[in-house]
Parts: sequence; structure tokens; C-alpha cells
Amino acid sequence: MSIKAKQVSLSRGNKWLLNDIKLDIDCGQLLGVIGPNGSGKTTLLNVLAGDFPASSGKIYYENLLINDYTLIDRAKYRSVMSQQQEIVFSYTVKEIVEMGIVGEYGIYKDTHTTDRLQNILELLQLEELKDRNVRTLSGGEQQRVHIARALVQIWQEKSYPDPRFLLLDEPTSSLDLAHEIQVLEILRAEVKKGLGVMVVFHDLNLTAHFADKIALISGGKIAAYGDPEQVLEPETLSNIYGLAMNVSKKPLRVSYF
Amino acid sequence: MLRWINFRQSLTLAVFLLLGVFACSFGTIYGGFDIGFTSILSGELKKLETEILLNIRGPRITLAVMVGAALGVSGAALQGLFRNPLADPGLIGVSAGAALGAVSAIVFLNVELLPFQLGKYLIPLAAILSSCAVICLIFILTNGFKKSDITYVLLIGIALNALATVGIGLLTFISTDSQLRGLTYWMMGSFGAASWGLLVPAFFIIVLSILTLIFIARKLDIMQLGEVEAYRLGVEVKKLKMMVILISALMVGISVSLSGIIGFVGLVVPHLVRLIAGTNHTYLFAGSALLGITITVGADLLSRMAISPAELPVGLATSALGAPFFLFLVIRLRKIEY
Repeated sequence: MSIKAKQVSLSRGNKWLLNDIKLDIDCGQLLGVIGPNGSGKTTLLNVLAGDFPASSGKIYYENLLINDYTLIDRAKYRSVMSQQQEIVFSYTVKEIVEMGIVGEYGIYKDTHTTDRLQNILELLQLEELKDRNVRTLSGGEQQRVHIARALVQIWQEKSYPDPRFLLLDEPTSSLDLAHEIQVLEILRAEVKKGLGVMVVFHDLNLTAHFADKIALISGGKIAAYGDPEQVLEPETLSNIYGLAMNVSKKPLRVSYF
Repeated sequence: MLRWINFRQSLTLAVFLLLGVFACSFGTIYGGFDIGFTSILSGELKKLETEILLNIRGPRITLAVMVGAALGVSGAALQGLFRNPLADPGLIGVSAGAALGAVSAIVFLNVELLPFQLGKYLIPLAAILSSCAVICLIFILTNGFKKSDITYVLLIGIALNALATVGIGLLTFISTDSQLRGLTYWMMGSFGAASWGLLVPAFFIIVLSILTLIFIARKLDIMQLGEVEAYRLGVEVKKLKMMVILISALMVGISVSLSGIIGFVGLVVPHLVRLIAGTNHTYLFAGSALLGITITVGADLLSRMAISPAELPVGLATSALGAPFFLFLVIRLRKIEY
């Protein structure tokens, strides 16, 4: 039960944006993706999501190639949240979150999904904001709305009997500390229920604390991949980030100033 | 009932419907020649009154209804597609493109000489094709709507409008006197020259187009998250874009070919509808159709009554109302909450 990337490469012109990427996102695990700016983290997420095909290599959702799925089936299998989203018109918070419910694109709405929507709004403490115009919210509040939108797409109440995945690109970049931890705790709880999660992280210490596995990307290649203790090595990190770093074990912490 | 529409929106739609019915009733009764409402209901009409109702007022109101609904809905659809609150068939050059097509057909094809009244249908066809061409041109210039920055799209619209105006000007210059009479009519916009022969097929196409748009409205809502997000959510974005473009071009082309350029309806109507009860496209399309009808039929009545027995071009009336509203939008764009 996993999303698998096998020898995935992507080129634009004669530049390799991704080079020979091999990794798995497993159900019941949180994969943290780290790396300097422009290293290819977001591109990797785009390719895994199926936004555009890889130049070479293969991406599997379970045992099938990503192209064997219809768009709707992909949407039911994995949910994606980008770094930035701008809504031009005045939708309410509830309407935006509701857009994550897949497949209801006709003129009728299925009332069975109302509970799921309600649960997610409560989970992310958006209950009080639900009738507000999303454009009048602060950046952090908007980010929580989009996390809710991504989560409602694949969310199950008790556990995940079928494989489901959530791919997030720096989901907490605009959140205050309390909400950042709260969102990551929510993700951990979903992972425990069997959801597979990939998060592109900016903060190495949050990655160390919340990830089960880490992929360190540099120049479109995987520089290190495995358990947090293995990947967060002072020498590798210092080389890749170009900054002297110390790593202390138990608890695992990276310090760089 | 459509579940995507909430109570407040249903109520708003009901009020719009009522307004539309009122506007149409008044539009039928009043004009250069007033017809008693009671005599219509009792069926005791004089021969002249019947003649006026069936062959003048009837087609005129029907055309105003069609054009109002078509422009309102295509404005809403284009704004949703471009994710741009200032997209309007008039502002971004689609209407002018349609007019250029119609005018070209009048001047070059010598429509009166064609057999089987073929010419009558050629003008709308030329208008539809050229409005389609303009939308495709915008599509290419904005790199597939990716550069949907408001200023950029509007500047392109200004350029396209100017180009179309040059074309129309040249054609006016080389046209014969009798063609010129027809041309002047396109520039001003009027519901006066409606005849049932063209209205009936156009009516069905417009009704079908609006229903299709209402049916895919939910997907257009999801598009507001961005094209990539919509694709990830299972919406076939390319297909949807093509569909919205073709349907909008079809509606604008038909409207312009039958009534000339009626400005600002496509811009103002969707904004008013959003202001009153929300943004989702199922409600927005239905509301824009109904409010569009009220506004065009009302403007037509105004233009007939203002200097009766003479008549103002209706495009003048809608622009007189719409242009200040547009100015208001531009000034307040950053602060407006929709």
C-alpha cells in the first residue's frame, strides 16, 4: 500500500529538475521531504501527484501506473495541497472546503457528505469561520482552510481500509506556532489511522520530530533517504545547505546558529 | 431543488424571476402605442393591437430576454473562466469581434443575393465564428489563461477592441449606402429589428447553452482553486475550458448578430448577482440569466419611452448605466469583497 517512484527523472530543456528519484510513500507513515530552495521538492510533489508526466521512470499508485487511473480515481486515492492559492471571488470557508469532496460535479449535492465536512471543520477549528468570506481571512487562516479542503478529499472517520494519501507542500508556512503544531498533530493522528502522508518541510526540527522517514533532496537528486537519525547527519546537512550544522540525538535536534 | 443553492440564493432567484416577469409585462404593454393590460387578459384585442403584439412587441421582448440572459450568463462564465472579475464580452473584445464578423458578412457576402434566405443565417454564423476567434486569440496571448492578471487581460481587450473597431471602420468606409444602414444598426445596439424567423432557432440555442453551463457550474467553482488544483480534483480542465469558451462565444455571437453591441450587461449583472447572495456558479448562472433579462427588457422599455415616439438605441441606455458602475468597480477593486 504505497505510492512508489521508480527512477523518476524530469528534464526541461537540457536541465534535469529531477534525477533518478526512487522513494515510497507508505500507508501509516509520514514522509518528510527536505532540501534547500530550488532543490526540486515541489517539482517532485507535482510529479507524484500526476500534474505532468515524468521524462523517464515510473510512478505507481499501488500496483498500477498513475496513467491507468482516471482523474476521478486519482482524486479519490490521493489529495494534494500546493504552497499558495489565491481565490479571486468571495467564496465562504465552507464552500471552499466543500470543493474537496470529489466527484460531486453534477447539479445535485449528496447530503451524506455533510457529516464529513462538519467533522473536518471541527477538526481544524474552522467552525466559527465557516460562513466567512475566505478572502477576508488572514494568511494563516486561509492556509488552514486549504488544509481542510485537502483533508476532506480523502478523510475517513475511524481508519483507512483502502489506501489513501495526502501530499502537502509546506502546509504550515503561514501558521503561528500553536496552529503549526496542532496541524502536524492532526496529520500524525491520521497517519496512525493508516493514512500515507508526504510533507515538504522547511523546518528541519519539525521534520525530525514528526516524520517517520525523511528524503533529503539536493539538485533534483536524493542525497539521503531513510530514518530521521540516518538522514539528519551533520556532515551531509552542512554540505547541502552550505551552513555549519550540529545534530544532537535524543531528542533529535538540528542546530545551526 | 439544486442543492448547491442555499435558501437565501433561492429567495433571490425567486425575486429576480418576479422582476423579470414584471419587466416583460410592462415591456409588452407600454411603448409608442400602449395596449391595455385588461384587453390582453380578456383577449379582446383590436386588429392593430394584435398586429403590434405578435409582430413588433412579441419578437422585440423575446429578443431582449434572450440577449439579456445570454450576455449576463456569458459574462459570468468568462469571469469564472478567467478568474477575473473584470472579464466581460464587451471589455475584452469578444463583442467587437462578433460585430466585425457580422459586418464583414454584410459587406462582403452581399447577403441579399444568396438563395433560400441563407444570408440571414450567415450573419449570425460569421458573428459566432469571429467571437470564437477572439476568445481563442485571448487564450493564446494569455498563454492558456495562465497570465490572467487583470491589467494584462484588460490591456489585451483594449487592443483587440481597437483592432476590431479599425476593421469595422474600414468596412463602413467601403460599404454601399444600403449596407451602411445595416451597419449603423450593429454599432448602436437595438432590439427593434427582431423577426421570428431568426429568433426561434436562436432561442433554443441560448436556452440549451445556459442549461449546459448550469450543469457544469460546479466544475467552474472548483476551477476557482486554480487549474492545477481542479485537475488534481478530477476536473478535465482542458475540456471544461473549451466548453466554456465555445458556449460563451456562441451566446455572444448570436446576441451581437441579432441586436448589435449591448455594452456592460455581461459585466454588471454577474457582479450584482454575486453582491446579493454569493458566488457559486450554479446560483450565479441562474441569477445572471434572470437579472440580465430584467435589465435588458427594462433598458429597452426606457429607450422606447424616453423620447417617444422616437427611440434611443438600447446599447446607449445599458452603457449609460454600466459605465459608471464599471468605474466604481475599478476604483474599489482592491477593497471589494467578492
